[in-house]
Amino acid sequence: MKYKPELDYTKLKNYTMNFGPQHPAAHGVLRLVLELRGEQVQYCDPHIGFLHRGTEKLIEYKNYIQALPYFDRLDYVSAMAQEDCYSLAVETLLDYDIPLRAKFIRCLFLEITRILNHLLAITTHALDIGAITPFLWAFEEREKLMEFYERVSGARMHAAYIRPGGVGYDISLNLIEDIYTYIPRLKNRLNQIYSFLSTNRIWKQRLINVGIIKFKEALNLGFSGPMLRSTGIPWDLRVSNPYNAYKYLNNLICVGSKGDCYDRYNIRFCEMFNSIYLIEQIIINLPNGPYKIQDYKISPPSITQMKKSMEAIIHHFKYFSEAFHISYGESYNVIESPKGEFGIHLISFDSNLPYRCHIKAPGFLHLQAIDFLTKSHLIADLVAIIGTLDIVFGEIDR
Amino acid sequence: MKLMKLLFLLNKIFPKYFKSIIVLPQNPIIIYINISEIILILKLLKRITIFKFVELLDIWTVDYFNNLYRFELNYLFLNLKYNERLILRLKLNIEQIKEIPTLTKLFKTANWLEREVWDMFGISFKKHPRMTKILTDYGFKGNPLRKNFPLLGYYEIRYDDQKGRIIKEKIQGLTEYRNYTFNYSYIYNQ
Repeated sequence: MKYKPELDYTKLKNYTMNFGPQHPAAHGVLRLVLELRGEQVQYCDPHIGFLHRGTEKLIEYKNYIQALPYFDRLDYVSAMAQEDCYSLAVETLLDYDIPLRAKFIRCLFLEITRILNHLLAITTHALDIGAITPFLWAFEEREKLMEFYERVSGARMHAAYIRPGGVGYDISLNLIEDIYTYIPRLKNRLNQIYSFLSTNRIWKQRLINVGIIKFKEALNLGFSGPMLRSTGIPWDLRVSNPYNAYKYLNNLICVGSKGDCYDRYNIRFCEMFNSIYLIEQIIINLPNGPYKIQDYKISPPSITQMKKSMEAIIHHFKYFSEAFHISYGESYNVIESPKGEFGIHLISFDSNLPYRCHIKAPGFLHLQAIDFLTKSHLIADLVAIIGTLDIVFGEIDR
Repeated sequence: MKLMKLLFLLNKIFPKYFKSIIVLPQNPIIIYINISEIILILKLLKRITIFKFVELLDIWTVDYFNNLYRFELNYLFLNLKYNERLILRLKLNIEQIKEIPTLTKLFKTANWLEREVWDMFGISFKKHPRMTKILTDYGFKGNPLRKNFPLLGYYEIRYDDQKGRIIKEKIQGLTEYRNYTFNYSYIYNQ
């Protein structure tokens, strides 16, 4: 008779667990296959693509102005940043320079977008960890900020406001005044949320020393934006290669030291205050002048002009039916979107359709690092790390 | 501009490595290279202190289906110190798309980016730790970003009331995509 050793039940075995894709802490449709040892995460395998809509393929079949609204739907909490990147790419291809007022208006709304994004990122992070109040406060403020979106473009979220050649509509003095009077109240509310969270013992316990990343690893993993800045590198595209009107503005870079979740939380808050500072500067320095290019091949003529001239009507019809043609060329444009570095590679092929539009999403690379960040953390910390990555599946899955 | 000089210097030292260099305004420098030398060039660019292209930000492909060298594979690198960007570009014909070495050992970023290229274009990478699909559905077949892949796809997925489950069907009876472009020369004809 063979010797049959008894099974050693004291020995722990790894077991796999499924997380998502309909988990509220997964921020959308993230599916993780976790290998756990007790409560420790040994290996984390993200499955993405549940929101894949083939944006890049669809853009190849749309003309240059029809392609714009797809960019709103990529990262739907910071919509205007993507629009801006696409508009810059088209303007680089056309070799056009937009009026100064358009640049300032773009910057104004980019900073509002940044506040919108960071408010959502921080407070849903807090919600995952267990603090519900900041979430409710922030969404009230978000609603007010989105009202500015609505007043300028007619849409709350998918604005399609920043367009190739300038912006969609001019900004009224009334609206500028309202933004200026609103900003101190927003500052007040941000201070409230900050003091509420930062003095909380549980919030600190859950974030400090969780998900630490060193700058060499961050570079190796292709980090950008607040994730890279948390490791101590003062790298911000608004400062290093300024686009739009950022070269006229005094910008600060918020940098962390440790590279943990608490640093990233602080950086996002710092950036919101910085955005308010930028908005104040923009409103004070907002120049007069046209809000889009006066070339009717690139931007539609105004209604008053269409009442007067036949040529304007023809241009209007051609612009909205055929759009414009761009000869052979390519451009790679990057901007500092709230989540990180967002890039577009656009190839024109002597036609009114883009030949190829590649989208570089920051969240894609950040999510890739989740295995590295969660290694030998508890499963409760996994939720904190997903929150700090600030992922939105519209842009990751494209 | 300091970096540009260094690149020309490198080009002088190793004249056969760089096939051609393109400099566009407001754009990264584009350098065409050969497949066989890519690992060597990247080791040089990453480790030599005067270059220090430490961050791989992006890998993507463009499909020029009419050309003999059908695919263009692009790598975007960033130098944080000099604030310079560099695109390395490979031209691939249909036989070469299985010969590209993976960059996962040099840059961890390459893992998912290469998987995406494999998913979208069917370009595989040698010795990649896990060459599987990433963005498309679990049972999906085909490479959707190739120009000969139709916009509507081949199959649709819907819920069947009688069978009580989700079924996969060939696309039928949908209106064809109507093309309003005025330049037909580059639209793929099947």
